[in-house]
Amino acid sequence: MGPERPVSAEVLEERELVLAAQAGDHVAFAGLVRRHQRRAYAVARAIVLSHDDAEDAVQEGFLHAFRALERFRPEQAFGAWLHRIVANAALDIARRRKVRDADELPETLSSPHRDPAEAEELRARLGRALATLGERQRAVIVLHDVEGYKHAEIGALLGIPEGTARSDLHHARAHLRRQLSNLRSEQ
Amino acid sequence: MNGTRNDDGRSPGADPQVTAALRALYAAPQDDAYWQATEQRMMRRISAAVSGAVHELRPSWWSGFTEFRSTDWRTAGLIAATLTLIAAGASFVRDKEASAQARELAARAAAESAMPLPLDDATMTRARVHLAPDAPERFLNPFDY
Repeated sequence: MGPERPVSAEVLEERELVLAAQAGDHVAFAGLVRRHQRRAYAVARAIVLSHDDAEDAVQEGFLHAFRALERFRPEQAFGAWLHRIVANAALDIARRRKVRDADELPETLSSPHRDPAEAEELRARLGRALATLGERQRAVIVLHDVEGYKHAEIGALLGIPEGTARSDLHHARAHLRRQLSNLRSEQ
Repeated sequence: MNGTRNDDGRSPGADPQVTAALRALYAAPQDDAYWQATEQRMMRRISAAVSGAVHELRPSWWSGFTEFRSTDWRTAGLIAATLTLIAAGASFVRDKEASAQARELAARAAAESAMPLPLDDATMTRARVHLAPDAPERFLNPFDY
């Protein structure tokens, strides 16, 4: 056995919240929601195609987590456990909405690109290109390139081997590159 | 919250422009009011679910059935079907035995009623009729006589 790693104050605080929530303290669970809802949203948003579906997935995920809270062992990482549940909720929603028009992709924050028209065009094309990706490949590229998850973490979230996550990322990038190549040549 | 922990999209194959566009497309809302509202909605849902769960726990005669899972229902169904078959088989055997007993009683009664009744004294003392010698022949071919 290796030396025990020091536990940060944040982790200890979270563990206390988990224990209190397990004892039926709703305020403590609200604290957990506050801590994790943004990251949970990011996980869900990587899997589903719209903001509304991501919201639904987060709500479903937290509700499932609340109901399963007594089965959670406090020595585990609550975030990883919760994000897996949210990812499953999002995958479930994505399966139900298999086909979705890329034009329905919601408006998000302003693009970091210099030329608004160019950025808008790229975003619109990207939305359409993403819609033609398989749901798993889309989730992998967003979780990796946008949210910064590692391959092993993505594998754990989506229930796939690490190698599959790696290969999905490669294929997703190649697909997007092909789909967006016309835009580049026009510039 | 979008802190990147991997290669920041700079690994071979990653296109910085596409990655930037992806980040813009998938950016989470940044307004704190939005997240407060989401948290409140979440907690309202949880409260509703908890009160629903308490309501479900109120005892009622059917409440026991709600705790059955599909596998439990299947098992219960199989047990019920087996018990019904056993009961039907037992009933069939009992009916058959009762029927055989009734038939036997009826046959015995019929046999007893067919036995000759005791004859009275007059019958016993009456003189026997002497038949003619050709009597059997006459009885067999009455039109010839």
